Amino acid sequence: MDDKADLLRALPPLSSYSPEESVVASLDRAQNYHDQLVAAMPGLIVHRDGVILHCSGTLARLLGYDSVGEVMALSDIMALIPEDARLAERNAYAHCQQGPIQPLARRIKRHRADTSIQWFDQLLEPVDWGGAPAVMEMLTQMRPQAANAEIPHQGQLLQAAIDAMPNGVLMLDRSLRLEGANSEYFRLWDYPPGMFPPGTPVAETLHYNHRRGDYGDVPCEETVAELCTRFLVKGVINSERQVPSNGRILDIRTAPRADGGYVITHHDITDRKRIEDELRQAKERAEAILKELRETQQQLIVQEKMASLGQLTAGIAHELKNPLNFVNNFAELSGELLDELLELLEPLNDHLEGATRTDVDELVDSLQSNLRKIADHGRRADNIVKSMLAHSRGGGGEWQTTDLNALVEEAVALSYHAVRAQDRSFNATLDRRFDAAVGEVKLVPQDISRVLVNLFTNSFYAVRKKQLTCGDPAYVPALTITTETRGGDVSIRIRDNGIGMTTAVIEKLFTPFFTTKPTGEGTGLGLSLSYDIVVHQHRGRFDVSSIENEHAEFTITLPRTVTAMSLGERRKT
Amino acid sequence: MTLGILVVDDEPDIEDLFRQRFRAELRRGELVLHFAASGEEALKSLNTGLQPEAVLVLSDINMPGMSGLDFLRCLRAEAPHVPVIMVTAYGDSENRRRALDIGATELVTKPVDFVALKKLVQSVIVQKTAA
Repeated sequence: MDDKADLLRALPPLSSYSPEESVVASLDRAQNYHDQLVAAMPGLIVHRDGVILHCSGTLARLLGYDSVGEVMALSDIMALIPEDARLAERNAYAHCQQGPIQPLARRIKRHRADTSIQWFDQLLEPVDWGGAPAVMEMLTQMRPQAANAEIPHQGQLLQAAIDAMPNGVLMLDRSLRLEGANSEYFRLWDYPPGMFPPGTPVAETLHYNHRRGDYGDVPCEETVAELCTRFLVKGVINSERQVPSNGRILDIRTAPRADGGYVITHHDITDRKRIEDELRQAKERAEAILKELRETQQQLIVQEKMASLGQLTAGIAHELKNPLNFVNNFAELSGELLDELLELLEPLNDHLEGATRTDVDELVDSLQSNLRKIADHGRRADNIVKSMLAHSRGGGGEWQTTDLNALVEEAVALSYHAVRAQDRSFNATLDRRFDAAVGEVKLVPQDISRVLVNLFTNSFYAVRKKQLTCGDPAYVPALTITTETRGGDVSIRIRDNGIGMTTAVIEKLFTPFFTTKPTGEGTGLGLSLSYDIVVHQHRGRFDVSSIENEHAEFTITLPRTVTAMSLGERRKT
Repeated sequence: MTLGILVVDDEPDIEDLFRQRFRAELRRGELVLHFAASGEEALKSLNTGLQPEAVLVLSDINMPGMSGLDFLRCLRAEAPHVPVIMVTAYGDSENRRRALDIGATELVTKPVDFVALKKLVQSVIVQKTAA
């Protein structure tokens, strides 16, 4: 902070002139120069949309061409303009055709016939050429500054030398007054030539910049003073400055001279910046694509895993079906045979003594109860096998255009009734946020309904369990059911405030036979099958998020249009 | 009269199961059950002549060697008049269509509902005796 204050104190007194008056004086000088140019005989070229319409003999000669015809033969006016100047010239031409006449000259460069560079002073005027608007460009070879003409030969040599340099060069004395500047400097900053003769305080150029709006809406004096301090910093400083009038980005470097003055070089880095920007954008695009690819890959891995597990499950189910068939049949038959046996033995009953009779009855009872148990558990196993097979076999459901909100409503009602049938005292708040715009979606209603009932049943189970275990009488079980439409997708989100899940549980959620319910209560196939239906059959997404003891949220996203597939079809391919 | 039924299945316990399920009919002498563990064996025994002649064939589909459907195809060529009921764990529509296309009379899925199967057998027998 102190350094800056020192620097500001070291500034030459800016109050010695009025910025407003001095800028006006500069503009007067530029106007003067302009008048001199007009008085001289300029080379003349007229063009429209890049097409050269007319070229004067003087200009053809100045550009080193043998005849006007050679200039007229050029395909485009841009052929005369060095590459780094094309953007600025295109802007200047467009500006000339739209806006009021540019009152001041511009210092520009042009390719000569032999491709060498020639500096010119340029005046642009819109003209009517053959009934249509065109740009009239008057060019004259750069005139020596009136002030320059008076400086000794050595100085003129120096001017010629810096004019030949590819960078903008500005030389300041120890009190920050201009000692000289080359044409490139005027061109880069879009300053009309003749505007800032040697001896002009550099602050004046900054005032001019401020006046034409280069710095935006900032206080003038402070900004100029702040920028002036930058010239005073010893050593090389780098700064990047944008010139709003021509869109250029300049790399400005200050080199202090031994005599206390400064050489400030301006390097046009617009192209480099543009390329850097393009590269950065390309890199960002590539990274975004890579990220997407990684996510897709991850999803594919999960899908493959699910598919192979599904296949395995189906295989196991088929293998189990036959032995199970025997278990169930023989259990039932044994019951029948036992009944027949008892019938046959009926006449013998009277011959048994009391104690033996009791024993026989007990044994028969036990046998009958065992057979019932075998049949019960056999049926249970049979149900598991049936759910497993549903993984690989199409439910025979048909693709239908379905009112999704109605389907969701039906599923929630069904699940709520089912849970209330088990526990009359159970109540839950159901917040339905259905978006009517969801409308009709093509899907297999039977299968999606199964998924929804599954999810609702799970949610009711989770909130009911929380109600039973948390011991908080103020706890209100609540489900929020949201449907949404986004782009080509529709989504159904089911959120409950139940017991939630740990990360470890979420990871295994879709694995067949994984269940958190007590043995016998869940098969562990519900979500695995739901995943299969949503992801494989309907080409959708299944997202889960949860915080333990807070909430769980399941989101199903389905594409509106999908090629109809049946469950298991994908596996055959 | 006594009717012969041939049951083709690779599971040996199928014999006990059928004998017990149809014990009443067997006891009354209405039925005689023949068993074959494969399609090949079934074709051989049909060719050598079963006593009494099999008027109905029940066959599993999924068997090692000749599959139930192959067996059905051969049988259709040799004895087009014998009704065949296919018994399978794969009760999907495609299997059903294929079996019926080849010429099965009916297709029942496992676990076998014997009450329904008995009715089916009865109806086939009624048709048979009427013919």
